[in-house]
Amino acid sequence: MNKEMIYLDNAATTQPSRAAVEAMIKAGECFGNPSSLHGLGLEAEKLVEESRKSIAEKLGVDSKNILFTSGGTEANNAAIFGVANARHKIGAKVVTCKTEHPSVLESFRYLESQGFTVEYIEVNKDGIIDLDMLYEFLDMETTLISVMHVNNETGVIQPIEKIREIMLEKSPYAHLHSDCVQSFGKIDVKPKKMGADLVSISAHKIHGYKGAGALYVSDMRMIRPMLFGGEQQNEMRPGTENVGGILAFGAAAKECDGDNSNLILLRNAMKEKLSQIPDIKINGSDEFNSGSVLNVSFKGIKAEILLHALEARGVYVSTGAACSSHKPQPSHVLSAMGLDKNEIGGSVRISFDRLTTMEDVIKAAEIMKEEAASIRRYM
Amino acid sequence: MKEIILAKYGEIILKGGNRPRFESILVNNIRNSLKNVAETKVRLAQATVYVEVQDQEKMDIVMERLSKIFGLVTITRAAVCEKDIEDIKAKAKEYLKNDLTDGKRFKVEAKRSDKQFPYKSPQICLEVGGFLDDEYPEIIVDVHNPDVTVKVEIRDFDAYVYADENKIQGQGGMPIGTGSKATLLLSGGIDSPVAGHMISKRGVEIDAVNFFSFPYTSERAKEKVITLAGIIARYTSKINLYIVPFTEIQLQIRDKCPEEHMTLIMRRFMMRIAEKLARKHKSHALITGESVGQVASQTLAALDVTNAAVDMPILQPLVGMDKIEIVNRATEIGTFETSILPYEDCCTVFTPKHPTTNPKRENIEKSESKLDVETLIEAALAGVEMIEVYPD
Repeated sequence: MNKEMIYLDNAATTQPSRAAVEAMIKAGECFGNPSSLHGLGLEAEKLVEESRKSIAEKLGVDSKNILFTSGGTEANNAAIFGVANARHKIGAKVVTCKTEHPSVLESFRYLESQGFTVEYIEVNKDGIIDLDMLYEFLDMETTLISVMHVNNETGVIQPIEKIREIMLEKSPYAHLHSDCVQSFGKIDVKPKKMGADLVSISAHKIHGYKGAGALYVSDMRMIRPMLFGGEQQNEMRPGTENVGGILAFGAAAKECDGDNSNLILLRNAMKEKLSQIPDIKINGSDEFNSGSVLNVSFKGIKAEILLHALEARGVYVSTGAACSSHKPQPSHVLSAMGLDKNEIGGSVRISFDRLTTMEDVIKAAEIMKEEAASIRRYM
Repeated sequence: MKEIILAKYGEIILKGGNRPRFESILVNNIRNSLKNVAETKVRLAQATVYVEVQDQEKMDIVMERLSKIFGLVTITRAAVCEKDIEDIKAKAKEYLKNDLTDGKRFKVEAKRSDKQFPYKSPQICLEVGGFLDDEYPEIIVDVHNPDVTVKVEIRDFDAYVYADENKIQGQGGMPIGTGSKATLLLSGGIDSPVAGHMISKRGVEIDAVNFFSFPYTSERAKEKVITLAGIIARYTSKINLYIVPFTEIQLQIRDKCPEEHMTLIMRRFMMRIAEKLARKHKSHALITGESVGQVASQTLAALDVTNAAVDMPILQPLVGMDKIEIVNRATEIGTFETSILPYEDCCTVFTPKHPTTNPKRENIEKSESKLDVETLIEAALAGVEMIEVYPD
């Protein structure tokens, strides 16, 4: 990565690590098809299984419960449609939260169009799911609850364990899915401890490559496959394995320690620095935050302009909303948290990673302060 | 069966002494446009361009390219026949078998430019028409309201047969390069690409200028302008696109001039910079996408003030068109879908809430005098980036 650059868009993607790149090169050498009977195939299969094991170890689960997918979106789809298809005869009621990733929300909207009863649970102003509303809605016919672990726009951590308790009390036939794409590798993710039956994760958010992800399923009988074909992955997710992506995923997972104390320090430092700027609002809970994301509204500024101004100075962040009058797409997450148009329009997502340094944060905060002031002069 | 493309041109024929020069420009443009597409032989005779395509499978793409060449009026595929009435009959039967289907009404029209050919035109019609009528018992001769008009042309080298209904309309206009060069102010919007297309249709080569206000407009907005230039280049073969850094000028206007004059002063800067670039690169006019009354800066009073900033002809081909007409044109030439991509709107930061619609030149000039116009323009010109854009 360019030395001059301060990359604070780690929630969007991360650069493949040295180990991931080497794993990819290795896959280029061991190019056999894992399903082939000869030695080349066996070698590739072994490497894939090692990678599955590394990931399973990080999650504290058995490797037979890991399905490799093409990424987070497929993992989420596979979990939601997999459970919905397997259990619709028991009940066609499913629940999710308003601040989920589009790959979850759109899947639920599709289920809705197919006759499922769907409830989208509200969040409070801090972005945390309304457990009372969840409690009210759940019943014996509910078969699926999907709530993300860490929100991709705000870094807010959802109380998965509490959701589990409520589920056990009210909906004994339901399964709990959690999209852990933004938490895996950044904070400690242990499905068994959280009480999640299904967990989605993605490689490129933890210094692996785009195009690889995985779904943990505590018991494969919970789901029906979405893809049909060969016998790979016990027919639960057929298709020749993305060997390079999978090996790099395993290598990258090994490098994660799941300790987010440094992320929290970085986020707090950034928050403190930015708080000196007038008309600023920090979005999302501080108390329940992974530390990997700081969402800030620069009131009165169009976030995209700030983004480009920062880009010109080597600082990379994201916006919470696209700056466009043709297709206004205010962030559904921030809207659900009750932010007004002005706050959403000026919202910037700053996301940290284990490679982010305190020096980066301080320098970036300084640049943000200057650029925000210069844009405000004209708006 | 050997097939050929016959492309006929229009307006050049009227050009008297310049005709041979214009014809050779047209043929060159066609050769350039086909260069990377297929191996072809292009030659010209009797107000027709003959395009022979080595690989018959490339016929469609060659037709597509020819449909974008200014100067061509109609383009058609035809079967090549020996100049022998029996061969013409046989080829017509085979070549038109998908056109002369059950119940179709047809007639034959013949044109004999090679007077050595033993049959006169009416005789050719009778011979070929009679033959087809016999061979296809289900078709009906109808010289007044035919579904299919079978064309037979006896020309210098060969004879040709085709169904008139299968020919496609060309762009018309004049070949690029017959009308010197003009400079288009190309925004990311719907109008300016259409304006550029309309002027280039008159044979005018196009340079384009775009004003770039990073970070107020994004890299993606610039990519969009390059894409639009690429679509226009399908018709003009190549466009030199000049990207002018404009942020500093906009910020200074924002700082020092009254808000309601902002847009007009900005436009005057754009015109001046475009004029300088045009003069430097031997272009003789500016092209803009203005349509009277469309927005505040396009009232006649506003156009008067804007255009007064430069001393060069300003071509505004959309001036009398309404938005629907412009959108239809944009759709036809293929720029509309790109133009409506949303990347340009951050610039709204520089749009006044209440722009003046009835400006007075002296007021605008007074506001403008607070700026060091020459220095700002020189600085912007020093930062110009030139991109050669080829058809995408």
